[in-house]
Amino acid sequence: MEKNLLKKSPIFKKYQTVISQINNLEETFQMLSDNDLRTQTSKLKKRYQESKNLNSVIAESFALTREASVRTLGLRHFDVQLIGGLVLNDQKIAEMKTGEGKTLVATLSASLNALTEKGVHIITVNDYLASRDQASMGQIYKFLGFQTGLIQDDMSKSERKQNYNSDITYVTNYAVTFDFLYDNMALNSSDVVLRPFNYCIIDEVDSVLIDEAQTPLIISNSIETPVDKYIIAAEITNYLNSGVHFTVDEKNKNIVLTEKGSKQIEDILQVQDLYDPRQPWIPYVINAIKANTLFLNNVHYIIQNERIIIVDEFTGRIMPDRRWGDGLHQAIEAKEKLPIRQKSETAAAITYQNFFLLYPKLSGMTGTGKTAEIEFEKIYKLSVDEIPTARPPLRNDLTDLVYKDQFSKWNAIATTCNQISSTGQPVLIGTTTVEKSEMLAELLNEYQLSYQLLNAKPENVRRESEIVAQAGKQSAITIATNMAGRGTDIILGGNTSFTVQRELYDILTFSRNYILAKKITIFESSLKARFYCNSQKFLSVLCSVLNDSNFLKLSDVEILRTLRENDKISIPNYSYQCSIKCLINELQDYYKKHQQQENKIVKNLGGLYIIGTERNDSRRVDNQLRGRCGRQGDPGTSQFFLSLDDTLLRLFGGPKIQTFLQAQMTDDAPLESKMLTKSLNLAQQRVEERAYQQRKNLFDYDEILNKQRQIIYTDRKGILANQALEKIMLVLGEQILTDIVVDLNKEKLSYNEMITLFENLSGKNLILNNKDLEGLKRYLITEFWLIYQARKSEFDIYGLSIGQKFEQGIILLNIDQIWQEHLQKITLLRDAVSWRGYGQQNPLYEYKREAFGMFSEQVKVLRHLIIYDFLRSYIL
Amino acid sequence: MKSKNSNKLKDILLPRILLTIGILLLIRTGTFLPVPGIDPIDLDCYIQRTPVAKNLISTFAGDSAFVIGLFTLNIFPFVNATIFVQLLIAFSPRLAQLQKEGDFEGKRTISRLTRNITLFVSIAQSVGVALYLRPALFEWNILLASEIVLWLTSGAMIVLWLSEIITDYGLGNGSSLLIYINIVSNLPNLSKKLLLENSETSVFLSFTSIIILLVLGLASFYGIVFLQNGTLRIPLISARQLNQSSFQDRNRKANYLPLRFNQAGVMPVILTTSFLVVPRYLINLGIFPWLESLASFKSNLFVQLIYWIGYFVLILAFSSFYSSIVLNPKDLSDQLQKQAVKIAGVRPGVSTVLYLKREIQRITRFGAILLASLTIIPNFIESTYHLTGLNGLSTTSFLILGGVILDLKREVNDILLSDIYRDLYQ
Repeated sequence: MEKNLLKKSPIFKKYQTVISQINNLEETFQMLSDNDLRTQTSKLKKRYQESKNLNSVIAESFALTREASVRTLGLRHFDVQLIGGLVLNDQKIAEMKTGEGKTLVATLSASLNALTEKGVHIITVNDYLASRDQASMGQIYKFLGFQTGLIQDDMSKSERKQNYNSDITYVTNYAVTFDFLYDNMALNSSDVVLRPFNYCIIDEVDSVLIDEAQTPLIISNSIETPVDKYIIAAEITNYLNSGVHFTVDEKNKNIVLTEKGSKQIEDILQVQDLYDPRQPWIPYVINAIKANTLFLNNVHYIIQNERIIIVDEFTGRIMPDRRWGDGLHQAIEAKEKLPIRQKSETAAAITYQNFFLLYPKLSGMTGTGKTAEIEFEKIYKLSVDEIPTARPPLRNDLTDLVYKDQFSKWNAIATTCNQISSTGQPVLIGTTTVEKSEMLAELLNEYQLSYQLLNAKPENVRRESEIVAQAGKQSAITIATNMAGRGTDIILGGNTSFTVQRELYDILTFSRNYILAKKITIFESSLKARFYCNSQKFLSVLCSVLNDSNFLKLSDVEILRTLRENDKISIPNYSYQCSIKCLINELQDYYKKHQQQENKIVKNLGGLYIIGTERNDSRRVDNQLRGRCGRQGDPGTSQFFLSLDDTLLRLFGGPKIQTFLQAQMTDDAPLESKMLTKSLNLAQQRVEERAYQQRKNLFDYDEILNKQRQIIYTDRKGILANQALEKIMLVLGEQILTDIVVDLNKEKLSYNEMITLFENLSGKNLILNNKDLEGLKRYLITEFWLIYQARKSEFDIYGLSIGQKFEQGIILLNIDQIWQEHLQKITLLRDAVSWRGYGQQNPLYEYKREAFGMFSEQVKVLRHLIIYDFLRSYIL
Repeated sequence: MKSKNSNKLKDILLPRILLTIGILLLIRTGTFLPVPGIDPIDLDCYIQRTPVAKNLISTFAGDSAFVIGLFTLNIFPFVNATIFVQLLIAFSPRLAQLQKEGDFEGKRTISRLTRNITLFVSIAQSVGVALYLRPALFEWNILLASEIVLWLTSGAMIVLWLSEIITDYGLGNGSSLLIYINIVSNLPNLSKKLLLENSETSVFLSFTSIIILLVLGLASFYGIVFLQNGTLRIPLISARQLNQSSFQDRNRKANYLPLRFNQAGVMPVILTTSFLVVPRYLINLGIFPWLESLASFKSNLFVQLIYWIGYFVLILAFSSFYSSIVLNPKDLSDQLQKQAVKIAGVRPGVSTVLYLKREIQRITRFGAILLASLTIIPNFIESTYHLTGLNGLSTTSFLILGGVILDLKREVNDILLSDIYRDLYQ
């Protein structure tokens, strides 16, 4: 079966030779001992050094990794997984369906590229997945002799540096981007944590590069803020009424002042013009009104420790590190009569789009990528290759059912749930928002069905992985919002490890409490009955654990952690850890049979039944939901329930569909039609296109800033590494002087002005005879050289190479400041340029033009600042 | 450093330039490839005999072509179709909405509509040609006529496709470039005609008239560039801008709203000329004989004056009409308010609307007057100095010439700008 499916696909033909090579090498490697395998790695490294071409060592490296995986994890790479690894190595996106073992595939390409010793980054979506993957796959790398690193949120700089220096590093996307930005604000080369970029494999590449692409990552600096204006503005809002003085636009979160409102405010403040640049009041007033009407306590934020903390509307989680920008945060603080903290200004920013393009070699994997292929091509130059599944897919995608309205739709969903779970088949329902999931939960309550609710609310997050893992159990009903539970497989029949952990946790805590309380062994109690089903071995090990004093000291949470991290611990510190491992294995064996039975039953019932409640904004997300069932050749069904007044259809379906279908449907029965599905797909495509356009627009604008950023950051890196500082300073000085002379020539500067400029810059008085321009230039430059050398030696009196350090510091600080100012100006330019369209001028072209002008100006100012700072400072 | 830079430019610009020139050459040769089935000798005879046909054909093909070539219809069906679609947009709110949204779907629908209408127009025009050739050719039958229609229509659609290739992969806007080529290729003929017809009068006059022509031509060009590119900048202040900490940042003058003098482009001129051409056309066709008597007064200054006044008024009317569609003061003011931006020195709300209305009226009037005067100049020269043949140099052509060159310059600048950061790398 596997071979047939494989041979037909075009991808296989492309990689046929390599695959057969790898398969041939398998036997050779099987016969080698562990140590021999390890030396293979160094041999391959040497070969790579000689040929400088990775292609020459692909087959050996992959075969080596495969063998290592067999010996450490017991998992042998399928041929399709080999193809996936080859695709990843070719700088493409590998589309592999859920459950195909993407994490394992990454190991192939990662260990191949690690041979270059330049470092490989594997990007995951969150910290938990990063640590999980590093723990499991790290064993393969360790076996092969590679160093692995892991970056977590709470690591210090030196830890991060160490981890980034390893051959293969697992890191989240935001962590690596922020580290990059911080590196470019560092003042010491010891603070730099990242190595030069080499190769990057992005897991869930569609989520990182498309869904999150628009979010810019920003590091801000706080700046001085005058607080009285905020307080006064907050007072004024007491005298303003909604509707009379201003109108509220809830959708866009906007406030518009009416004529009356502006007049009223002007009267109160006794000013003529709210928009006066000398005394601007309008931003403060608008922010104050916004704070009053659109942002409410305990809905959008909470007050904790005299601070305002933002609450994410969608997930309900608090975000202590984020602040609203543009003065809004300060306005809310003023409203709540809390101390007003400093405003922040962007010091460094980058988007994911531009960050990942910095890697010379980029690849990614996802379960759903083909539909967004155009975007990947256009923006990232990554093509998408579909990798065939190891076993033929048995998923059954039913046509969508369309209901007349929401009411009939949800009823139908509930009845179907009832029907299906009564047969024993597990059901997974995916909703789009948290409210809808809770509403469905209520509905199912009425039907008296038991279910598990999984959404991003903090109460439910903790048990996220567990709920998702158990969603495959018989008669299980799980309600989940789309984003929840990514990365965890749903195994039909339930996941034993979770059951085992839970069971063991109960036993251990219970027994420990009992012993601590009663101080007798458990067997000599009435609780004997509880352990009747466990084997003798289990009981004896349990006894030994309970006698261990170290164990008895543990708290509940620590027991839980020990259980969770069980497989990560290779060298146990305490004896009870070994025993616990033993207990877990015992229980797992016991449950394994049970689980295999359940697995068969659920498979016979038809596998997991997925119900979608609404078409999402993109087909990708729909496919992700569908992909949760039918993994690795399991059977499964997916069906979407839609209604005519779904948001998507309402906004983008077009009026014709509405009227046509309203006429057709008179009762609650669903409409199953291919034509309908086609128009739904069309509507969805339109939404996708609109979103793509927005992203492309953002990318086009950001590209210019990106080029400027690259110039600045490259220069900065060079200076941080202490390269040729003196030469740079001299060049800067000469450039300034040349500019001055040119201006003099063009008569933009008078002679006297030029003298004043030079004297200001250098602090020395000039004595000039009337020289011609060339002679003047030479004279000025020579003067500058002399002054510079003089200052340098002055600094050096105080200590060895203090002058150099000082130079470096000045340049870096000035660069940072200028860049920060530049970012502000560019943001304003973005806004300003959008009005040019009314004059039939192309905004993007105007932006490019003015951005370049601004940048050249800033660079000029930077030069002046650096030279001035250096020539005019004195050590006190 | 410099050479590396210009090298990169060559890599980007050269292929585009070559492609554009290549396609233009292709189309130019195509206009001379005769449509099979039309005997050129017959055609020539007929054209020499009937001045009406001569005039009409010269309107069509841009130069008095004696060959009905494959690409005779050239880009004109497309141009007519675009004008027609613009009119439709002005009158249909649904289409206006599509165009305003500016997303892929809207643009695609509108361009599809334009292309379909192009097809119809080209069929109609080729049918017209076929019918006109009826008295010209010896063997004329339905079969020949439909063949001609087929050839000409396919020719027109091929030109449309080629012009789109130029727009996408070459330099400049394909259709404008083609019109430009048409006009420019007419120039040698025109100057020849000019010299020939006017050398009969005194040589001295002809010399001065050339000078005057040149001066007026340059002045017109200057006027056209001013009209096309000139903008009135209305300074804007945004709330965000005011949020900056330093006064210097708050007071920056980079935020402005540019308003063009000539919002409507060549539309008013085209419409006016179409209006005013009607009586002349009717006279030519000889339908209304009583108009002939009026026409005999053509040299009468009085009639000329009426003509010019009519011209001015019509251009003014059309310009204001167009600018009111393109720039709606109320809309603009609402948009400004939504984004918390206001015009410097004007209170947001009703005052802004009034201010905008006043400003827009002012510049439209100015632009219209300028446009009208530029258009009148050739006619003026003709009648005062008794030169003939200046009809080919209508202001529309000038506008298009100027517009195309300016657009090209902007596009080359755009390409330069995208690449300009390279030489800042060390």
